[in-house]
Amino acid sequence: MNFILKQGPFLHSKNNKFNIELTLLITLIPFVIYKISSNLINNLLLFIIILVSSLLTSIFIDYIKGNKIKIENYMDDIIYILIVSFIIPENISYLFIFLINILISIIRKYIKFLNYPIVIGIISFGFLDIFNKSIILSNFNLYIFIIISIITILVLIINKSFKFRIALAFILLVTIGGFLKQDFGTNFMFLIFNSIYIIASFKLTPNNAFIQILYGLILGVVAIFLPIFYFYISIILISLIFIYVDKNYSYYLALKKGI
Amino acid sequence: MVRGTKIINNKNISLNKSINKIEMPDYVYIPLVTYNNKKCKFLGKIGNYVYKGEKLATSNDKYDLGVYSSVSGFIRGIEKRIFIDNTLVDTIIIENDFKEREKAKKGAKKKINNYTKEEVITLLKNCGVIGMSGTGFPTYFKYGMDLKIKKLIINAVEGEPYMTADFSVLNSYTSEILEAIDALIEIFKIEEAIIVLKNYNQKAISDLKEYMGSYTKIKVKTVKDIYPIGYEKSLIKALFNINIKTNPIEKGILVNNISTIYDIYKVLKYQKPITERIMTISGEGIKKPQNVLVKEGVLISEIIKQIGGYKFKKGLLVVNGPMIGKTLETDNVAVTKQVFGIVFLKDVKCKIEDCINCGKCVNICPVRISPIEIMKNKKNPSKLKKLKPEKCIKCGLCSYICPSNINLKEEVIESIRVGGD
Ligand code: SF4
Ligand code: SF4
Repeated sequence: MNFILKQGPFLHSKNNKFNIELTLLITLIPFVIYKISSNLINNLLLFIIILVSSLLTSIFIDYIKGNKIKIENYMDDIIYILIVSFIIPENISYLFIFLINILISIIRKYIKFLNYPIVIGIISFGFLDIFNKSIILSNFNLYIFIIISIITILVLIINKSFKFRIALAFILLVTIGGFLKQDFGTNFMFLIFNSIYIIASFKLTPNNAFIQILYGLILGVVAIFLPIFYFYISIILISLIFIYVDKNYSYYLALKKGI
Repeated sequence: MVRGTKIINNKNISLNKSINKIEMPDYVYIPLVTYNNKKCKFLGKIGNYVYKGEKLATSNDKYDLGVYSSVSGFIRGIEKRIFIDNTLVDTIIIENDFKEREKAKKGAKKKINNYTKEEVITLLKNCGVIGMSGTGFPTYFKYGMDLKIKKLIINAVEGEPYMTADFSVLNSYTSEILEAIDALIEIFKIEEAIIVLKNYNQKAISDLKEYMGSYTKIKVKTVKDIYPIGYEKSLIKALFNINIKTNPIEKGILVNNISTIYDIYKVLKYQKPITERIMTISGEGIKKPQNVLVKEGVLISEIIKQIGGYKFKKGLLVVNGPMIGKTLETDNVAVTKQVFGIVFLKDVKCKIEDCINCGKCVNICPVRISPIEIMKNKKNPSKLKKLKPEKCIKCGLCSYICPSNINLKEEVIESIRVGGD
């Protein structure tokens, strides 16, 4: 008999990194299909350009570095591709998006900190103002968008694939803001999409449940009152502040006696 | 709210099967250690004859616990052998004469509720009754703390995956357990006793309720099927929504494992030391998973041979369940009363990845420490001091939940060592 010595525990949750990324990826597909179908030729072309420029750059860099080329190593890239494909303005130049994606992919490969959708999302959203966001989701039907979003949120909550407390707190405030301003147009849809894949994503967000709720609420308030471009910029600052607060909250919880 | 989550439990494979008695072997191996791995002083002589239940050694600490022979026979020697924690400890080897001779035979008591408090405490001490959930904490110490016991909680939650020993004890000895609880209520003037089970345990709940009419001070309560709700402080919080900061007994709450209560019954009834226990032998690597009644000092290899053997040749032999247990490098190890189960599992390789900052370990930790922050600050003593890794109860939930397969539990344990240096 061969008894292996190993450190426990010897059971693991099935909800591993690959499953989380796969869930995110699958839930993005309806959004992207909807986006492509709203302006088939142009958006399909944009999607292919983003896919090719990002994925090939990533694979090429791994090839040069001698890294193994395995599908699970590119989940992050595919999620990025799908997010950008959804949020990209339709009137953007093909060459520009091709080049900028190669550049971003190179940066993401070498600066680990940027290797997540959040920062990329913020950068991409930054372009929205420059490239006139009003035409991006103008063909979208609010109700279809809401149905896709609700299903997505439920799937992500069940599969524990995002920080649902942040998303729900943010969506609550943004919805209240929508009622107050009587605006459920492009901005609203962007913010909802944003809350799912960027604001509530794992990277650069607080970990303690209570701080997550606060973070979602504060970002919600900011989203209501700031113009969208400044809102995206403020995400970075607010997230950094909250990561600091989150750490101190961990000290506070640890110091409390009992459970 | 009590923290925890539903985990894979794999209990079905050994559940609802009758308890199989393991045949006595030619030799038993009694380690000279007690609670907290405290070394004991050997009281006998090599070559001497010992009776079943005879005290062989004593711990030289404040608990003053004994080590008892589980068979009658001759002491053949003391040698260093691998203990259940993989360390080498002095172990008494007794050659079994299969006569089960006892020094002084006492008949069974008709009524077990006419002892005094002091008599019960002395009996629990002299008969080596310990916490059967793996801790091995001396039970007499809890009852002897000179504080009023208002509530007695009987923990039948059995959170460890694969483990069904407590469940089978409850199923097989329901009336004995209720009799023991009733006696404790009367002797210690306890206000109420609560048997706590997980809410899926319907059969045991209905069995217990059948008896309830005659025991007015005993209640049955259920808790959610989450892990580690069986942890004493979590259980109390789930039941009464109070946050216990020190020892529960200071709030008048005493928690005993259900198998410990069964041992208390045997001690009150027969006044003999506890030298055997019911444990679960399970896992996908065991041909016939089941619960067995086994004497202290029997080798794991012997137990597994008697119940049909292993299914495969290479795997993880884990003592006390896959969440809190440890692997052994051999099955040539004797079981003790602290062993509530053994599992043999496949060695599933998990790729360890970088932390994705999902926060799951932070929000799941039952004692509210931050495993990921502790891991990141392992080399920063001032931050580590604030993060309190020493609060960790080693439940393993952080490692279980981590999507990146980081063994956070070990990181936290390691940081306690580093912090202590
Ligand atoms: S840090 Fe300790 S107590 Fe907290 S979940 Fe991990 S093993 Fe359990
Ligand atoms: S559970 Fe694992 S991946 Fe998630 S924050 Fe903790 S260490 Fe990081």
